[in-house]
Amino acid sequence: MQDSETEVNEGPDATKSALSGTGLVAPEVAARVDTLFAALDRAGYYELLGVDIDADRPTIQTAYHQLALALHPDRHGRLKRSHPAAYGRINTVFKRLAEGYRVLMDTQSRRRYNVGLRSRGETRHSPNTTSPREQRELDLCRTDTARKAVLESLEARSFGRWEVAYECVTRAVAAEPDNRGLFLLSDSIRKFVTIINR
Amino acid sequence: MSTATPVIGIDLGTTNSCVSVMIDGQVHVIPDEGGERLQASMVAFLEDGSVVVGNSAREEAIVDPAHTISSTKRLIGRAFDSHECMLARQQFAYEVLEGNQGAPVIGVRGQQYSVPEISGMVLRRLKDIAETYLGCTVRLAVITVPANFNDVQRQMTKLAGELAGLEVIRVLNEPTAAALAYGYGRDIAARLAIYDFGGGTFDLTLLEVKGDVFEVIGTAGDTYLGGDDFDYRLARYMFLAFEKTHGFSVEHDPLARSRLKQVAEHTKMELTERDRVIVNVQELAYDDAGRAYDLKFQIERENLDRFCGDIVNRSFEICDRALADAGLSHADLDGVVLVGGMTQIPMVQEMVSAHFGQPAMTDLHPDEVVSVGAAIQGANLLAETFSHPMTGMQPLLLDVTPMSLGVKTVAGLFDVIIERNSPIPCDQTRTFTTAADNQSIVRLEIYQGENRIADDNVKLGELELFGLRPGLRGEVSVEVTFELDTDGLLVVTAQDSETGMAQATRLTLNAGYSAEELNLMRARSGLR
Repeated sequence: MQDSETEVNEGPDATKSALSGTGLVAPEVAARVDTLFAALDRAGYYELLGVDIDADRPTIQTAYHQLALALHPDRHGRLKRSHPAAYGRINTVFKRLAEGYRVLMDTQSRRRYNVGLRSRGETRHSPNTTSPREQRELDLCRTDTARKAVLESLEARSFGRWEVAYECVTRAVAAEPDNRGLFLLSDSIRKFVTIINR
Repeated sequence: MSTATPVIGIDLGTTNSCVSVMIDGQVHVIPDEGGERLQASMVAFLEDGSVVVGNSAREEAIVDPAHTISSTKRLIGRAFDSHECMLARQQFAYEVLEGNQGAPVIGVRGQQYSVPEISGMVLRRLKDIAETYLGCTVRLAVITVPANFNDVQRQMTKLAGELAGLEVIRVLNEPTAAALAYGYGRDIAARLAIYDFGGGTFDLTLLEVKGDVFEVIGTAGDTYLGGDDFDYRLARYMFLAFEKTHGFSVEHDPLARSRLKQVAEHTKMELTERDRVIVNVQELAYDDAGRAYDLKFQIERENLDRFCGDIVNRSFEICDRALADAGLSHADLDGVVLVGGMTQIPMVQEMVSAHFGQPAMTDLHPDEVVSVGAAIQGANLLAETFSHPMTGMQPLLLDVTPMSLGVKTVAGLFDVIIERNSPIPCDQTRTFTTAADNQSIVRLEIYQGENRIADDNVKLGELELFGLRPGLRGEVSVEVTFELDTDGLLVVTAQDSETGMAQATRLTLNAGYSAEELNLMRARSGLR
């Protein structure tokens, strides 16, 4: 128990068996798990949870709860011993849903995720979600207020909402009026907004 | 629900433990032969070689504290040189030694026992009580732990269950269990704070109940703030009273210490009912000439309140931190549930109600509510199709991990891999690369905690990736997946990034036990 040596990898490839074959999972649940499992490599959190990219928190929570009621591993404990591969597949799917739920329910991590998803098609949140260039913008900030505003501005830009992006970065400048780096950033966004609006 | 394969729910407490079971949709708190619903978490080793566990061990603690083991929950999964363990050793009358892998070992009557073995004896007693009550063999159990127990503490609690001959189907967080006991069968929608002040630990858990879903949204706590603390402060007050009367101190006399600790515990409970308690402890100490000295003193509710005030205020700091983390204020809460022996003190109830601005919920017994919740979850996990007979409820618990998990970087910093309050089960994958040519092994130190400096957190153990394929430095990389399973326990798997082949890993827990030690424990517990 202490010195556990594991050589088994229960990754996606290890679980090929069809859930419906176990006879222990309702057909509609089995189909749902299989669909989600097949989509894990390419689909982002919004798609997996079945919510819109601008869904509010209560909507995301309700969607997650509905999925959890059907797919949580505790709902399928009987499979653990008899059909470990099937249980592993449910576990893998649920862990990803829970990961997405956590990222999307926190405003800051959701913004970072949106930036990575919209700008680079990154479907999972990771410590490297933010690009070095984006990180440099965030690192200009000395206060939390400014950092949050710059992140919001990055998110707005990833959606192509430049006016909003400018408005956000203006708030960052207001929080740190003597920060020359932030001022230059806001100035460059302002110039871009003028160009595209002409 | 048939009773063919019952699952017992066990609240393994610091001072007391409780066992419940669900039969036909009804939860029964199981009494022992004498009708007692709580058992002292104590094991007494008598002179004649016999071992007494539970409430019968309580009297032994007074006459023979050096051979009566109590409060092992404060030691379980801790390192011998940890601050908590050193503190406990100062307070305990029994002998705590250092084991091979840095775990504390209990020395009693020439024998050495691991902490899980002692806890296992308490669990076996509870198992026996349940078997007598049910008239059948009990094999399966849900055992609860404080929400802020770390991975080693959870692993060791599970081991204790195994040593008691139980298959632990879930290690469940105490406050989550309490919430389940409150919400089960009521079909409520509410945001609750579970204020859990037990014998040795405090934690606050924030939870949203929506129909069948019980979702933990955040938890915070202190594994070393509890009723025990309070009893020692009260005992110290008594020592000072003794010194004032007789002109000498008996604070370093283990027998006197142990007696006063129990007097304090008792006095505390008495003071919850009345305003003043007069205590006369006969022959508390002897001088060199063999003359006996008594301790007579009187204590008012106000004295108790003063001690309480400090400790409870410390708990409120933790409460407010948990609320802030979840982005909530007191006004966002629909109820505050009280759990644990300390919350029976009227002063504590008043302070909690005042702090949260609403009356605290106390309709379930604070000492029993956790084991009731554990029994509900036990039946829930086992049932083919479980539902509450009245409402058709099928509760689902969505819990979180209480502490961030990560590894130590070369610079000694704490690199967080799984953040605290992440829903479980969950996993995160990191890539580690060799730093030297033909490096065959990578060692990672795993920690849990919230400090930026790795060593300021609790070290869980070491992970070794061994037998790496030969290659130039930086060319061999391994993807390591850290998983917290449905018990919140750490499981590590790894694969070679390039070949996709499974990579061998070895996880050695700090303050854990070697395979030989484990076999010895199992043999001694009669399991092999």
